[in-house]
Amino acid sequence: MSDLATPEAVGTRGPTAAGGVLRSALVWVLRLLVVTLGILTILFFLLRLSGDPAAVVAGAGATDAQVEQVRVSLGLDQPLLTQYAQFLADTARLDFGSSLLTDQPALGMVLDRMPATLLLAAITIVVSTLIGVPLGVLAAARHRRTTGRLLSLLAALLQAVPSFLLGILLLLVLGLHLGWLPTYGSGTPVHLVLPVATLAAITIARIVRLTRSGVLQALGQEFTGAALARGATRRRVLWNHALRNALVPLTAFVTIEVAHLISGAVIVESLFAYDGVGRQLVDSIFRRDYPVVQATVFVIAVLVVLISAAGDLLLHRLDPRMRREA
Amino acid sequence: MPDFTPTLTRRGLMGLGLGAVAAWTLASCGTDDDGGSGSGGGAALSAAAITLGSTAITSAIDPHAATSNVGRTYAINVFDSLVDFDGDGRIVASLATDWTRVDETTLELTLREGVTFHSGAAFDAQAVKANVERILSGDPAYSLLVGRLGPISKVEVVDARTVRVITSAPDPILLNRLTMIDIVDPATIGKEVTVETISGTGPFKVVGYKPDQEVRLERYADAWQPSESIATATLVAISDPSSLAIAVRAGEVDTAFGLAPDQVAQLQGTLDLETPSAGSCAICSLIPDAEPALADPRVRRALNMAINHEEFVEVGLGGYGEVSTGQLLQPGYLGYDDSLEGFPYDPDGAKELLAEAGVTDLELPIVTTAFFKAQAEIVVGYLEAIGVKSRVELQDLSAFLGTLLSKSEFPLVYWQTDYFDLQDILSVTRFGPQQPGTQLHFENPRYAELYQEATVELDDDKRAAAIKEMAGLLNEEAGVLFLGWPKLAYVHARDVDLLLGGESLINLQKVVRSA
Amino acid sequence: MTSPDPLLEITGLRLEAGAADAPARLVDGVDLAVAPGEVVGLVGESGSGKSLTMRSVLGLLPSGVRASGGRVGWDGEDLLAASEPRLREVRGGEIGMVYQDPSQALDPLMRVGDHIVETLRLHDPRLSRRAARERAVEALAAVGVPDPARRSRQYPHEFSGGMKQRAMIAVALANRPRLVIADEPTTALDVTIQAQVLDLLRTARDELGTAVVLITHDLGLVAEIADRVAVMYAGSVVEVGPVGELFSDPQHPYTRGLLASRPHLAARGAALPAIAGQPPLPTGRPPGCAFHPRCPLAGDLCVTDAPLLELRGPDHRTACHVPAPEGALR
Repeated sequence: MSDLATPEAVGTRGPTAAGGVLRSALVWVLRLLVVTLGILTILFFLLRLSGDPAAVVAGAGATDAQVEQVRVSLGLDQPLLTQYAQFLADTARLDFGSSLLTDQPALGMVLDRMPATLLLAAITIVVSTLIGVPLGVLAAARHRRTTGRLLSLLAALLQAVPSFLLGILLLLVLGLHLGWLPTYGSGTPVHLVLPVATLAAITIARIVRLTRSGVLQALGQEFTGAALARGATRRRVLWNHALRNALVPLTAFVTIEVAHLISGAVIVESLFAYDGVGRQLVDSIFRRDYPVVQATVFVIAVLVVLISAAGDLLLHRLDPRMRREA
Repeated sequence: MPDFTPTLTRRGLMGLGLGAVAAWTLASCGTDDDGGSGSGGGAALSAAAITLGSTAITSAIDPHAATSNVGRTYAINVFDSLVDFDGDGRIVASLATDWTRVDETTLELTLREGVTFHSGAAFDAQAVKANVERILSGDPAYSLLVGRLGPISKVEVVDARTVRVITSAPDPILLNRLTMIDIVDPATIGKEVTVETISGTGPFKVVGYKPDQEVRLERYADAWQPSESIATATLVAISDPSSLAIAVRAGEVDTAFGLAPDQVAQLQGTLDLETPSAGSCAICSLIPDAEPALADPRVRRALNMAINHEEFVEVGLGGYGEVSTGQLLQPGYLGYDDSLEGFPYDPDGAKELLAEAGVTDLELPIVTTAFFKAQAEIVVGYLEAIGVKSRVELQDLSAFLGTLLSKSEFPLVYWQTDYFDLQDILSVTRFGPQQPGTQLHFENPRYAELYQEATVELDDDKRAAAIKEMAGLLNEEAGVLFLGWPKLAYVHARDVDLLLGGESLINLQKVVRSA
Repeated sequence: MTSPDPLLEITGLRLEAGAADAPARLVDGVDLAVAPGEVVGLVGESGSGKSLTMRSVLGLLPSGVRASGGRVGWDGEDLLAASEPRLREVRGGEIGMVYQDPSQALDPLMRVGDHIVETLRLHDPRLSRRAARERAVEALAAVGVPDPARRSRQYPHEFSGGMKQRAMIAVALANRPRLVIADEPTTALDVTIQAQVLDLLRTARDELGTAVVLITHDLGLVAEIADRVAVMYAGSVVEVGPVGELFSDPQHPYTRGLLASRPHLAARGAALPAIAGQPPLPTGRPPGCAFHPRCPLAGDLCVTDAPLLELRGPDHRTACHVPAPEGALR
């Protein structure tokens, strides 16, 4: 007795598979271009319509004439659209100019600090996942008991704590009173501890809650019960079946979180005087240092698109349902 | 000397937001500190290290390219100028040992012998000429400095040890201006500025630089003013004031400046404090353009009478300041008039004056940057107490500069008229002549006349008289809202002796660190 | 005929939920026996407790539901008192389970074949992955999945509904269990597939000697495949007997009502007789016979005393106080 072929039964293998890969790659490149260009355009106009770097560059004591001179020399007196056209041409050649204030190449300034921010982001995510996921599973497994409820409550509280408050408290306790850690700077692994702790605390809380809800949801579905009925231990059901399914929404979240961390955990970087991209970005925005702001946003946009593509790829591997042709 | 206005916006933004938290947390653990263990009475070390912390450091290691006065702490330790100010504000010799005025627009200076740059090159008249030419070359990177140089137009080399500085008009404060020109090694002019190439004649040379993070200095053994105690110094930037305060308490930073008054007060228990004058006056400019009622001197006087000056200094400046005598200049500066008095604190009298002027329902919002938010809020309080509606409007630095320097939409602008760099009233260019179209802060033709006079009058006595008359006008007409003369606060570890001697910048070669 | 040594013997099973002092009685005294190789249909409305009864056999009650009395005899031992490791041996090894909705019961992230591999290796750790995979392919072939080697590597979403159910049966039968509990195995499928699923169950009984408990609300299914039928109402068994007997001579008024309410092709146009009223909530079980509020034959005794199962015919038991008149309600 053969089953009638139904649409669901059609597999993913076939003549369109290779074409599909090529198409995805094209889509991805297009997405990268559109997103980056879109962001930069919005940024370009926002920056120029909201303030004047000439005054900052010329300094507080400058006269009007000097400010005007500076403005001309920076090319800021040109009509906006001319500036935009020039900007597009430059961006295509990856020429972001030099900082209006320090005269260093803008792209260089960003790339100098990017590794530090990336390091912070990477360690934060790894630590958060390693700690958060098991705790989330635990919270789900014991969700009716005190342990589970306590974990849930802690996660909710931790998520609500503003990062700068947590940062200052950690700084005071671990940096000042106990003297275990340096209170500012970057460079050595020890300098990473406080910033990572501050960032990770909140990320862990979110991961715990997301894992918990994902696992609970999976546990509420028939297939986990069915696994038990096949003779699986509860632990196996929890970790192999429930958690694996919960990893799908979790991966989506982690991707977004990494992107967010990469755009510079500004508050944390400023608090700990950590030499990362976020801090520099904020400084540049206040000083209306356009080239640095544009270069920073460009690099971040590219990285974010890359990361979200990686995330999509990961999801694809994790969830076979996503591998179907549209 | 650190300039408060430009760079402190961002940190102020966070600092003041965190102020309450920090104040509470620091207060609750204020007494159990175990850091700062220095006895302060030990023997002086001869190769000590020191860390200076502030919320921002120089924006460039090329002193000419600095975009604000934040860079002065760095510059004065690595470079020298031809002349310098001492703690009492008098001009003293530095790279120039002697000077005479040749004519109205020419000053001849004799240069010090045997001075070398960090690179080993000799310092001579050519170096001076090259430096000034570079600054005046028109490169926008030097625009801040160009503003300070005023009428200086060129330098002539007479011989290896003699130069002549020429101004385009008689310049009574030429020597003051010369204190702002840091002499860099001319061999580096035109080349890329790096840690290796930058060199000056100062007691320290640059050995490391991380932009916006830190500058590392090392003692230069052949300096003409060598450092006795300090051998290595690190200037660090910790943009968040609470973190800076914690770093000081933890002993990771030996000296800090630029903290908010309440944080300084917290640290006072465990650390030492030096509070030189900031060389400026905290005021609110009154803009009749934005609020016609301000054109009436009675209204302006009433506003001044609403301020409780002692209280403002105590609360707004944290006690680090002095009540002004109704003038911008502090005692000791040329043109200070000791016969002037500040406005009395008389809220009832103020209300009467307002009524007399026929003003009701006056609304006077104050615009300022985040760093001065607390002080501006206090002023709001005083205004409301006399029936004037007010509130604080915050702008970020770039926008505020526009407001301050060209046009303000708001009737009151809170700022500080810094004049410490030139140590003269002419620093306060905002009250001098402006480009057509720029809003005037004090509209008084006689004042403008006197300002012009003071710009070219070479005779000190006549000049002093003109400046005093200006002060008198400003006072009589209540041209601004006088608030107080702020002081700086340097917090330092007990085993560090800053020996400021009244100066407002730290000269590391004078600092003594004991065991 | 019930053999003298039943495979599964449930006696006096009580399941409750909620507060200990005022519990909701979900199953209130169920007796059920299954002989080796026999197909027993367990019939009742939703909420009658049929699913819960069988889940308690495997110790897979939903959280909040607990066994408060009775015994589940499996090959002599009481599964209610069994340890978790022992239960794990039983689950999938000695007793298999087939679920109602195969889309829900298969792990979407696990290949279909791997479900079988998993249960095989859980019950025989010495089995190599390779060997297990081969056996999984054989199992799929045995239930009629075409191209089983390729299909085994596919994911559940790539299977049609009927195929998924077959796969689930393959999983349940993988370790040659002596009993398969099929909980509404055809409810989520269309009629043509139903027949195929029933065929598979029949084959399992015939070729493997597997007993089947078929939980359903569909009397038609029961008529087709079951040897014996037990009817449950409001948490207890009200009638049990050989399928032919029960259908031709239903003793309990509820059973009669159920049978009468089946649509007949012949009675087109006529109103469908229904049993008036609703079954009681587990918290609101009436005293005496649970059915008495809806029973047309209810008497005074029915209100006060809960009836017990009594033998009324050859292997035919009914829990009712009212003796059936001969041929009264058909």
